[in-house]
Amino acid sequence: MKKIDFKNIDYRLIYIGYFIVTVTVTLFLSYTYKLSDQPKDTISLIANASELFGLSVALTEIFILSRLTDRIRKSIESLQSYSDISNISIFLSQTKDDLIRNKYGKAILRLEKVRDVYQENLPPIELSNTTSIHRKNYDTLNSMISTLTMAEQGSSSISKKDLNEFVTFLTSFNEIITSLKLTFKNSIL
Amino acid sequence: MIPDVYKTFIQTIIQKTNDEAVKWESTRDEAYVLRTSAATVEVGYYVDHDAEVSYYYFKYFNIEKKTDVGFRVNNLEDDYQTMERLFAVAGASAANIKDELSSFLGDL
Repeated sequence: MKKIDFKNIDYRLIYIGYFIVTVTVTLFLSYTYKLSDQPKDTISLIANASELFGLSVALTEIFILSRLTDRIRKSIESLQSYSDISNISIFLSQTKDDLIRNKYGKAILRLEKVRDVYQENLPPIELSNTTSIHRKNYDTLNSMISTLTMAEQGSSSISKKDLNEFVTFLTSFNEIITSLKLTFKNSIL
Repeated sequence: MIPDVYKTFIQTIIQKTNDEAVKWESTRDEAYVLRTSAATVEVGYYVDHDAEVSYYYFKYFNIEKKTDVGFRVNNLEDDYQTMERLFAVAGASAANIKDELSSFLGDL
């Protein structure tokens, strides 16, 4: 048996229901309380029923438009986040190159940008949760920035072990960024 | 040396770690973090091979205010031992060393 896809049904079909309910209630009231004995009373009753029907339709349209506006606003926010997060991937790749070439000043600036964009595009609860993967990544980014700043200040190089560790982290972090990108992409669509 | 404003804090953290009131985590090799919902404290070890100097550093990051402050102490300074102690207790906490050692003794 074919299932009905309610999402693709035009919501305006509900107005048929409104119309049927309005007519039924009007007829019921008319017969019960003799509201349309005179022609002018009949006209008045039809006018009131039409007004009620129109008001219901207008309220429904306002409700639907309000929801649509919210959805558009969220999609625009997701689009902005998608764009910001997409730039992080590029920064991460450039940071790896900076680290390999000992250009720590550039790497620090890029990592600070990555950290800030990451923070801005995450729900605050993700960072306040001390066990979340995003909080751990955020702390690791800060830790890397600290180490690179010390190396930069001392005009020295980071150890081979630190370099490997940083590159490995940036690679795994990029995978999380790709996953975040997909989340934002799905919320746009 | 450790700036005065941090001294009491460092001693308190060492004491709380010894009392197992707080639990450190390893954030990367030779760096440990202690987290609250609003901030992270990090202690790490760093060697400047060119200058032949080793450092213990301390960092405080506030997530909401984006505060990033701290200091470092090198092996020629007086407070190096205090920082070494902080680093050691942080590492022991992160490695859950008390249980590890008990388990080791049990396995002997």
